[in-house]
Amino acid sequence: MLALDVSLKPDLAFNILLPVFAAAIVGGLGQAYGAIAGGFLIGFAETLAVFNWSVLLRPFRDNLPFTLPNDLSVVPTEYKLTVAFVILVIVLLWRPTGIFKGASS
Amino acid sequence: MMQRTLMMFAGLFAFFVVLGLLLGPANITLILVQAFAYALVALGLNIQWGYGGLFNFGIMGFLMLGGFGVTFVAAPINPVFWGSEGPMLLARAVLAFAAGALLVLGARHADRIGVKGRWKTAAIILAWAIAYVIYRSQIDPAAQYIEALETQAPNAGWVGGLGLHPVLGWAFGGVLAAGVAYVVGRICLGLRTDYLAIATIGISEIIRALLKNMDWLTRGTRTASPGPWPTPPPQQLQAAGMAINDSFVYARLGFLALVLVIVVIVFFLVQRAYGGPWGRMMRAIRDNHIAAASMGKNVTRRQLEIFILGSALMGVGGAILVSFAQIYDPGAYQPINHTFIFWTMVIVGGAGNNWGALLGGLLIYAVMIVGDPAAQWIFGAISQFSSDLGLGAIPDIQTRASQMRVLIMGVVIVLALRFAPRGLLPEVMKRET
Repeated sequence: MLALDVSLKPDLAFNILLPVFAAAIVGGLGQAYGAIAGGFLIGFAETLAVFNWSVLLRPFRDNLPFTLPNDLSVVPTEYKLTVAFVILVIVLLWRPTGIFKGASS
Repeated sequence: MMQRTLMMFAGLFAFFVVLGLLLGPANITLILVQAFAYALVALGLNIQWGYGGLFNFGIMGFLMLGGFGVTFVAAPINPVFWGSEGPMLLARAVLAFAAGALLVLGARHADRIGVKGRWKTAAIILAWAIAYVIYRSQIDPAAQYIEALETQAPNAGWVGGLGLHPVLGWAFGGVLAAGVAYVVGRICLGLRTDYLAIATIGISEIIRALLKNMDWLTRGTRTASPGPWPTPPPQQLQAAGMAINDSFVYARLGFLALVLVIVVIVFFLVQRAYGGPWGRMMRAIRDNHIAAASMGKNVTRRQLEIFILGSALMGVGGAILVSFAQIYDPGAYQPINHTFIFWTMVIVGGAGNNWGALLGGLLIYAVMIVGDPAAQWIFGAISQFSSDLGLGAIPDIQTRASQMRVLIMGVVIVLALRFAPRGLLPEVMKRET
């Protein structure tokens, strides 16, 4: 399914491996619901952080009090992968074994 | 054990001699310089994992920081940047950063003015958001302006270097890596094993993304080159009237001597530290941190110490590699080549034993370099064999064989671990009887 989104290559897994690891750990190791929650959190955060919000605001550009910049994303697109890891680090600081209190050795 | 060490190093020496005879003096000096730089990084990892039992999977990040350090210190001064408004804009960005940091610090101490509980958390999050917006509002125009300097003169679209001696750059790379390791360690060392491993991977990816995309600071994927050498480069020797082939050999030998001096000093120091009270304490913490803590050792503090020390060595090693290659290309760093290879070196060599880390570093690096022609030769022979049988040659064997280097590496690792599960030179456990 991922191959539908990007191109299918032999090293496809490596680009997705790290964010997926991050998602599993954010949710909590050994917690099925945690994995789901972590996956949604990382996925939405990655996509929304690089989303260009000015696309949504463009219809109202005449009514806005300020001139609309062309690019209004929270982080530049090239830092997409970074978002997942920043979330990972923040969650690990806040809950050292993930949101759903995963296994710890 | 002593005998085994001597035997292993004699075997390694013979391997390098054979390589040298096969590849010629210019290539073997190149391989040796890089192998010793890799061995230095492997020593750093051996401190962290072998002595302290810390999972650091973020070696790539520290190598990149070291490389950036030497590029920043040693690259020639960029007069176009210093003559433009760039420094002023950057100063404003630094001020904005300081203001944001102050804001966040203030929010963290908001309880002193009566803001408590959830309100304080909200204030901290708000402070982070405002600080981010302030910083971005200053750094974005500055970065755009500096990168646009490229139109005025070639190679001018970045801050340039300080034009100092590269050895200072190596030291700066080590210090930079140590500084970042301090921050990372303060954040992550409270985590246990697998969580620490994934957190360090994450942080090294963050460092890579930053250094790769901050074109104004590092020139990013446009690469900063050529960097200066600390010893006379081949061009200088050629200008002094040396033949082209000889100049490469002697220039690389000079560089090799410098790297060897550093490796020997570092090795002596870490070996002394291993046997000393500090090393014994570290092993006690590694083997049972609860028992060590109950004996009054500050486990987190000691682990932070060892994390910083190992990362500084990684920074120096990364700086040497960049300095030798004369090019800093943040796009060329890959976790597989710059993190896991060092784990292979330490595990195959023998974790906890400095001789083992040194042996593993030199051996695995040489195997990695030789793996390419060896794979070409093996798969060429297989293809020849199948075409002799009348089955036809394997199509595209040349390009396919170059991918098989990884396979050769894998075979070496599996064989080494099958016949020496604790490494070629395992750690010696001294037992009092």
